[in-house]
Amino acid sequence: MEENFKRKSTKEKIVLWIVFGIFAVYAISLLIPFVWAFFSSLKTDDEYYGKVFSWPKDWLFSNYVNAFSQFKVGNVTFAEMFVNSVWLAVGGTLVSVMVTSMTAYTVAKYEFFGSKFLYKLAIFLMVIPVVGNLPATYRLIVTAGLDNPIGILVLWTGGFGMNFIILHGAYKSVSWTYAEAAFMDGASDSRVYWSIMLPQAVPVLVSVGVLSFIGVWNDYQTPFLYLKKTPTLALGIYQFDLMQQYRSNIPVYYCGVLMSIVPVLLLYCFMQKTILTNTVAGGLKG
Amino acid sequence: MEKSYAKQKKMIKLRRNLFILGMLSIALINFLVFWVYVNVDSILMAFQINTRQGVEWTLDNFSRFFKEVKMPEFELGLAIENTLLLYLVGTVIGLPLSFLFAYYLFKKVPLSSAFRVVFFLPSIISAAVLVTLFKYIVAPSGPFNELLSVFTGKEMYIEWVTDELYSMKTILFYVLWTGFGGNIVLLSGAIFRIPEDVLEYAKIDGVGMTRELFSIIVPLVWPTFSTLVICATAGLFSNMGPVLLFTEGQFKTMTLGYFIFDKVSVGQYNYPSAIGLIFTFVGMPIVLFVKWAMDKAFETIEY
Repeated sequence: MEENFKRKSTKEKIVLWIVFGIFAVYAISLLIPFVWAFFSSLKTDDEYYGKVFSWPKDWLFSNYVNAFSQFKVGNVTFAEMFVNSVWLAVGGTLVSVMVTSMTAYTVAKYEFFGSKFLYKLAIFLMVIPVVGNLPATYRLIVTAGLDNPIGILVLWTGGFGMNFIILHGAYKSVSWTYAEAAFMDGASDSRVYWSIMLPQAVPVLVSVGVLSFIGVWNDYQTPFLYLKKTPTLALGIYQFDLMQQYRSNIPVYYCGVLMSIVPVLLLYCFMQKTILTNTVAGGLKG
Repeated sequence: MEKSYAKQKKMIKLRRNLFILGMLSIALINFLVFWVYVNVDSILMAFQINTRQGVEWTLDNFSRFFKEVKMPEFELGLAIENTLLLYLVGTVIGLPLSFLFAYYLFKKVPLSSAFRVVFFLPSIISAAVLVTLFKYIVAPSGPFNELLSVFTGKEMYIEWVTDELYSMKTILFYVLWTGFGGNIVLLSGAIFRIPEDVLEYAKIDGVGMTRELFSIIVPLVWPTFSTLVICATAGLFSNMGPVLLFTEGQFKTMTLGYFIFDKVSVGQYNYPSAIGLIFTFVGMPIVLFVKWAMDKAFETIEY
């Protein structure tokens, strides 16, 4: 579907070159903070405050090693925050994708009492502007003792939301013929789901999963409220930033900040084509 | 024979119903606990205050809100204003811009693949990281002020984040600057799905880029676009923006979402619940109107 630039008319080419200019400026503006942070991360603290635009005098790659011991929030080290992030992102993603997949598949493929209602409910939950349920959620989580890295996974067991819409659309478009053939051969509903239908939805599941992983990895509000004792990197960066008011170690801080983005950056670079071709949300009918 | 067939059919039906129940059980339990129970509890809390004698049923939380919203020192009026500004910049301006970006990426602007990766960066990198880097760049002695000093020939020492004059504007700029990525993925996905024939026929008929955009692409991508608008509108009053990371609500940057978040994080539940309830009722007709308007604008086309 992608069009060839050379085959376009002169007028279109001019428009596209102008857009290219705008895109280039915007892209550079997005990259500059990271380039600047990278060079700053290789300086000493005095150098950092001395001249903003100077190159590092000695390229201190050792700052990255030091970040593992010096990038600390309370007693929690960078490595521990990294592990906390991995746990929450992997656990939250697995729970969220599996529950949403099961819900979307059942609603999309089975006619049962309330199936249409459930689809409408999913839409309703997305559009109803509930504003103030955070206090009640917070009280429930804390009272039930779920404010720990394992218990908090319960927050990702909701089967509805935008991922439901995407997966519902995906399962709707998967042919039911293979399932019918399998039922004729005596396969159970569960077998059909796990062995026939789920594998066909893997590309969409992967793209939804990658986006969920990125979302949980970057979430600082949930750890801020519920996981203060086991901070993730996203929360750690915020807390370490607050600590800079009392003691300064900016280059090491930049090292931690830059290292924290590597996993999601790699994940996205490898998966961006899958995400783009499989992340399709239709309208909110109902 | 017929009896055993009927029994077998009944068994299959029973197994199927159990399967359906099993598949939906986690989502349903979550819905009952984290939506039904939580929202009922929220409503109840809105009508309660805690006294030494225990819980007291009252309308005080509501009257407190209507009193405080008029008093500038409580910043509730400001919070409403800032929340609407966030919606204006992030959704009313940001979403159409995302759509234009997605369209030109689809039109294969030179380096479009590289641009797509870069534009999505703000969505894959934690706001905690981005805000931090942004804050250091616009810090009084940071590179942005240094550059301004070079261009203006004057010593610039503007506190973009901590000066009340600039802080909310800085946050709004940040929201617009970083707000494209996530929407570009969904909108690009929708544009790339448009059947090749449709655009080829239009091209043969001499349809130019502007007409292609407004007469073909927009109507076909409308369901995805309207979904994004409706969801953003539904989150209008709960969106706290990056206020926690930038200023923690100081320097005239309070938003409704952050106001509630802040109260909860210090253990106050009843008053924020009442505020939430008020804005749920305010938000409901707004969302319904936006949904109605979006549905009216274009008829959904299946392809």
